[in-house]
Amino acid sequence: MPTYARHTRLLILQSTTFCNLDCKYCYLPNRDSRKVMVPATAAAAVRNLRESGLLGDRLAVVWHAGEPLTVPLGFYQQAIPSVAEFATEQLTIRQSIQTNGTLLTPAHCELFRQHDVSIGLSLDGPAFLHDAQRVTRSGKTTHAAVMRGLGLLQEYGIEFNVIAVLTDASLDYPDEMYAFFRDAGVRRIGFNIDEAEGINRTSSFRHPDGIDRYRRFMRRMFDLCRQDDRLSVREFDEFAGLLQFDGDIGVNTQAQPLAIINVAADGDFSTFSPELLETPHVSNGGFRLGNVHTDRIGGVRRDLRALALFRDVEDGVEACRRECPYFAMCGGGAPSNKLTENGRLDSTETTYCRYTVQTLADLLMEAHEEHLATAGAS
Amino acid sequence: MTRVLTPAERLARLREQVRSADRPTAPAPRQATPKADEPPARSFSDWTQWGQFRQIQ
Repeated sequence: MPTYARHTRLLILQSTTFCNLDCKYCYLPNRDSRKVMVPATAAAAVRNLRESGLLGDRLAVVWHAGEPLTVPLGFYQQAIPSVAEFATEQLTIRQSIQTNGTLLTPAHCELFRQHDVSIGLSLDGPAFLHDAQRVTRSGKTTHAAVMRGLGLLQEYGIEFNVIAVLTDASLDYPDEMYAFFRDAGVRRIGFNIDEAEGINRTSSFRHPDGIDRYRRFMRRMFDLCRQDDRLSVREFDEFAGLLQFDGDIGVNTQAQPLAIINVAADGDFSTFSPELLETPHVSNGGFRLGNVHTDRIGGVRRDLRALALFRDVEDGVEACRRECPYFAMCGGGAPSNKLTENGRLDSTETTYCRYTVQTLADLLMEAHEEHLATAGAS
Repeated sequence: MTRVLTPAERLARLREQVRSADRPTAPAPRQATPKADEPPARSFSDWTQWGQFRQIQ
């Protein structure tokens, strides 16, 4: 029997799969599709979670997996308040939008400020790095437009963090990256890597010396952050949280049924990694498990097709638990990466985890050990 | 010859060192202890929920 999450912590709402950009490393399919969610689907998703008994004391709702701001503002003027209405004294709902920032307007910012919607901004660093990957469909660069969007967020006082995707080319420039984000007034950042995932079948990180270069980049970034404490890096903060925690890390939420619910524009839903919403899976007939308008999300516990899928993912987690010495820092890996890289959900190590779990853990343990030794000696 | 620690053993040792280093001084601001069912897993860390999950921790 799969171990279900007691509560759903993250609801991904894919208002559209369409994107106005054509970033070279993007792993999402269907970026040409103009299918758009209707506002009622957003409320139906939260209501469905409530009726399934899956709401705990907080829910993160993220508009994502396409470029959400290609959908007209009027959609969000209806959908965002309709989701917020489900908040109670016992339930905090935080909404955020992951955007490339190129279409942000003052009207968006007014709406986000009114409803306390935070922003995840995709920005890969200085123009020479960002514009090498993040381009429009006609190949035009986008850095200037993103910086204009960032300026609007700051002008309106909208809380935001940045997601920067590292490619092999970025790894030579930790100092330039750090100075750029610091000077741009960015306070919180997460570094993703160019993953082989979804329709992006290759990664620039499959380079023979990639691990060493990634390690040097992240270590330099760690030292720079430590020097002036002006940039908070997700990976470093998470590890610091792990050091303060004294227990079993449990299962990665990406691999735990019902912890994450992803809802497509047409109301279809899936669980596990959000990328899987758009991923065909031959043996299971796809990852979509139902539709929020017609099927109870909690009902997947009795769905034989879903159970077969959950068993595959769980077998992968258990294999990680048995075989991987880094399980205590990971909790079982991301099903989407396993599927893309290994062709199976019930598999273990991926390039993605060699970088973002194993290498990162090694370098951060080393950095903290050195810091403690220095502090002890002084 | 000293045995090389596994990553899990190294993490456990580091946790203990961090706790020991904290002890003599006033407690530093830190994240709240997670509830039993909410360990600070590397939950979905490559997506945008970072801010939200940091609050959970």
